[in-house]
Order: sequence, then structure tokens, then C-alpha cells
Amino acid sequence: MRYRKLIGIGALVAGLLALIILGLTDLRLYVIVHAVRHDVLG
Amino acid sequence: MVNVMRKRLVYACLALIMAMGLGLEVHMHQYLSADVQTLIRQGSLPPYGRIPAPPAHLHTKSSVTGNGYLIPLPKDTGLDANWSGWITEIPPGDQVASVSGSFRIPHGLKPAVRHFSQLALWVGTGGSFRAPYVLLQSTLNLYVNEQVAGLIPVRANLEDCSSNAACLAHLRTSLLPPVSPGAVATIHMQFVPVVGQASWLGFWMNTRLIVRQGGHVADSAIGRMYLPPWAADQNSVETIVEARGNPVTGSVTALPNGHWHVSIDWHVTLRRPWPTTAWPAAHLVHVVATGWYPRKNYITHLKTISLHFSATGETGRGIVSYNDEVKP
Repeated sequence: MRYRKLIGIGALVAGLLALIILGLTDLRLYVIVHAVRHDVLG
Repeated sequence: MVNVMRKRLVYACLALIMAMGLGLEVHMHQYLSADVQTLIRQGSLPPYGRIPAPPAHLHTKSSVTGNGYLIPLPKDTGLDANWSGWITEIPPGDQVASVSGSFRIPHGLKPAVRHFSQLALWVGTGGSFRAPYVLLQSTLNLYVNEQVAGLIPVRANLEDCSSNAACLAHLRTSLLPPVSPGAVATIHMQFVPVVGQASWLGFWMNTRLIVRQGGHVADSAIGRMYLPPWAADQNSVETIVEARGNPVTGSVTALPNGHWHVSIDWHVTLRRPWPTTAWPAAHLVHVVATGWYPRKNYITHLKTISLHFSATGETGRGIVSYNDEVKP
């Protein structure tokens, strides 16, 4: 029972981390795509 | 029993929300990756993992942790699309690194009279450009070494923006023709926006002032202009300017029509290259201002104004007045 709880919390934290990392990566990709497409670098 | 059921329901909802979030993220990732691939095919971005080996004549030190690749942006007309370069000597763990290297330019170009602008510097880790990118905000000065035909040494100060999701690798540089010493000084004022800090901290712009005299960099200063967020909608905004080296003062006024009125007085101290060099009464000044304020403004200007000097002794002081209306 104790391990089940631990596993649950671990999964929750791992999921959140994955969400954050993916989100930040996508935000960066979005900025690059936006910058090049809308020519904001020039 | 009811409590247990309620707990399970909460957990189930959490798991569902997380699964939906992950699904959405994965979808977005695929969508954006496809966009990036399209840009690569169009030649707007360097290809993933297909970086050419650095030229053999470049001595690559063991401390290299990143490789630089210079690409011309599509609008740039002063560069051959095929040229590329490598930047070496990025010390590991450095937030601000000095890098140097060189890149080959096509044979037959006359670099001394070329005006290079709109270069983007993309720096990846491990010799590839696979996501996540490590974008380094940078300023890059190009110095022409005429003794080595076809090679331009590159010196750059890189500021690591990898922790800043909204930071863009932005680079604007100019290569100006050499002039006779003391005759004309060209000032290249450069605004490099730190985009990621604009949303809630205010509007920051790093500024760089490069004074060239006689084809050499006579002086340079880095300043920072700050526009607080609460001032964005006011009619009159006073900027707080910090500068390393030379003091910078100025103001930004948001006009009712959405334009911005930028006025900057940059006090410049010039050292005389040689004691016998006479100070000219006025210098030609090229001002390049580029800024990006998310969702609001995009500034790009090239302006030539004059700098009036009053010189005493070994140094001269001048004021650069930049006064212009900037369209969003």
C-alpha cells in the first residue's frame, strides 16, 4: 500500500516534469518558427 | 467509503488532465517540428545533424562544447547563401563566452566594402542542431583581415539564453568600409532586445555602441534601456538607462496612434588613436535600431545623423541624438 502511494506520486511528478519540458521545448520551437515566418529577426 | 471514492475520483481527474496535457503537447510538438522541417527545406534554418566539419585550418580546442553556424537570413542580400562558419572556444558552463573563429567567404568578394547585416547565429550542442536548441543571444563583430584573403575572423560575445524560452538568437552587425584615420568615425548603435523579459518585467533592450575610426574599433559600450511594463500604455515614458562605459540617456514615448517616439542621447567618449590626430567638428553617425516588443512593436531603422564633438586632450565627448518615430 505504501509503495503504491509512492509509485503514484512518482508518476505524477514524472508526468508533470514531462509536461513542463515538452511545453518549454515547444515554446522555443514556436518562437523560432514565428520569428522566421514573420521575419522578426531582420 | 465515500471519502475513498472521492479520493479516487480526484486522482482519476488528475490523471485525465495530465494525459490530455501530454497528448496536446505531443501533438503540438509534432506540428511545430513539421514547421521547423519545412523551414529547413526552405533554407531558412540550418539542417539538423548535417553540419559540415569545421575547416581543417581551424584549431579546435578540447574545451569546445558548442559549434557555431552562421546563416544568412533570407532577406539579406549581402551574403552568399552557401557560406558558413564555425565558432570555437566556448568554455563549458560559461554564461557569457568569447568565441572566435573564422569563416570562409566566396572567392572574389571584397569584404572591406561589404555591408553584412541580418545574420543569425545558431549554436547547437554536441555538433548537431537537434532540439532543444541552445540559442545564444549574441553580438558579432566582423573584422576584415585583408592579409588572409577569403577569411574573416569572427569575434563574438555570447550570452546564454538557453534558460529563457522566449529568447531569440539575434544578430545584427555591420561591416563598414575603412576610412582614413581621424577623418570619419562611424558609430553603430545597436539595440538587441531581450524579448523574454518583455512580458512581465518590462521592455529591456541591450544596446551596443561601436565607434569605428579609421576602420578600427575605437570605442564600444554596452548599455541597457528599460521600459517598465506599467508605462507601456502611458503617453509619456521615461526610460531608465544603465550603461557600462558610457552613459546613455533617452526617452520613449508611446503615441496615441500606436507608434513610439524614441529619443536617445548617447554621450560618447572617444579616445584619440594618436595624439596628433585632429578631432573633426562632426562625425558621421550610422544608427541601426532594432527592437521587438512582443505583440506590439517591431522597430527597424537605419538612420544617419551627425555627432558633434568637443574635444579636450586625449578624449573627446559627443552626444548622439536619436530622435525618431517608430512604427509598430
